[in-house]
Amino acid sequence: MTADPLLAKLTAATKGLLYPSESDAPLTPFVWEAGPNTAAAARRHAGLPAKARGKASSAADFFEGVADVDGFPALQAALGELLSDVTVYRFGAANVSLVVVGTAADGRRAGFTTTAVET
Amino acid sequence: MRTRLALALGLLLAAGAAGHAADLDLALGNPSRATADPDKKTNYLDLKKHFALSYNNDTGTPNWVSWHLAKTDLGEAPRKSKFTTDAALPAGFHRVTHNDYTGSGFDRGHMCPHGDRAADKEMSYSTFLMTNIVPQSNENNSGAWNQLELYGRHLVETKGKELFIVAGPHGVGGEGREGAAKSLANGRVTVPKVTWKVIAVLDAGAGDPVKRVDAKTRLIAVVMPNDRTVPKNNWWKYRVSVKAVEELTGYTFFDKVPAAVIDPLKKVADGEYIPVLERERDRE
Repeated sequence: MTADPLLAKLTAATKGLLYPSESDAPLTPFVWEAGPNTAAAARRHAGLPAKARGKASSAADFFEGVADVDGFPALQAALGELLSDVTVYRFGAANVSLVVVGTAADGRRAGFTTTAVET
Repeated sequence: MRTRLALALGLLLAAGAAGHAADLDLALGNPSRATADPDKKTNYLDLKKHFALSYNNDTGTPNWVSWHLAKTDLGEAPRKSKFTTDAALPAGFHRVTHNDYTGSGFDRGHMCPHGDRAADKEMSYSTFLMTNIVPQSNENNSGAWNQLELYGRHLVETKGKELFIVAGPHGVGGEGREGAAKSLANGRVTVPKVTWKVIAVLDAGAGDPVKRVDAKTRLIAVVMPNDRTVPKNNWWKYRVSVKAVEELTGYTFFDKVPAAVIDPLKKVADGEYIPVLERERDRE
């Protein structure tokens, strides 16, 4: 389906998973070119409005919240093998955009985006 | 005799130590005279530690949830991602699950919101019980409904108030992301036509709240459509009188307060000017 082995692995790891919140949202994997792992870069790559302010948090916090959800512990393990310095950027309030991004061995940034409804 | 006195004292102390729910969450009244009788499956009183509710096994939702909001309830405790099936419902009740809402196009809408019980993780997580949840359109849940929740916390956080809040669903049939629906989960969960909320705003203080309600007490009530027309803000446009919510639902609110005091207050819709809060601007 996809020629990029990194994207193929991320696609397999996120397939069928829904991020639970007040709604449930699919996970969209991505691979970006090498660059700094910042909120501004995540916002730009994810196509979010320029005025959206991002808040960074750790992957550990993100996965702790879904430790009881089938598939997420396995996803955490897969990300741990593929990426380092995994960071979660949150944009917006109530309808929140999430960008989970780390750095691959070849320097490219990769991860997945999803959304959460948090009121 | 002495044993009996000791027993009575012990019970009193135990009741006091039970904490939040029993003493304040229903302090101004029980809107549908719900009882903890498991045979009354459509009006079953469930006194949770951090809020009280009347559960309706036919609709798979609460009829109403009632709670007291004070500054000590606020904080930054984490949210729970996946909602919890309420295993405390008596045998014979259907237990609604997180997955019953998945793909329905409706949000799992808290009645008692996470933000009103965010002082610690245990109380935060308790709001993610499915018995505290109704199917809300995303526009209602994350829009004006959420703005009213933020406004209530603003009153508590910065205006020296404490709130007595009751909220619930009413009617059948809403419209969500996947279109109009009357129910979810093969009819186990009713999609309401509207959501309503009533709030008694008191100056934060000690002593019996019933006695602190007077002719100047502010009451706020809203009825919001459970559809896609609800805007992100301007919750105040949905204000009605408490009496209008009583006529809609058949419930009686704040009836521990003497009628001579509360009835005149119920007849008037709140008309206070509502400021745009900083947190609302942040989300634009």
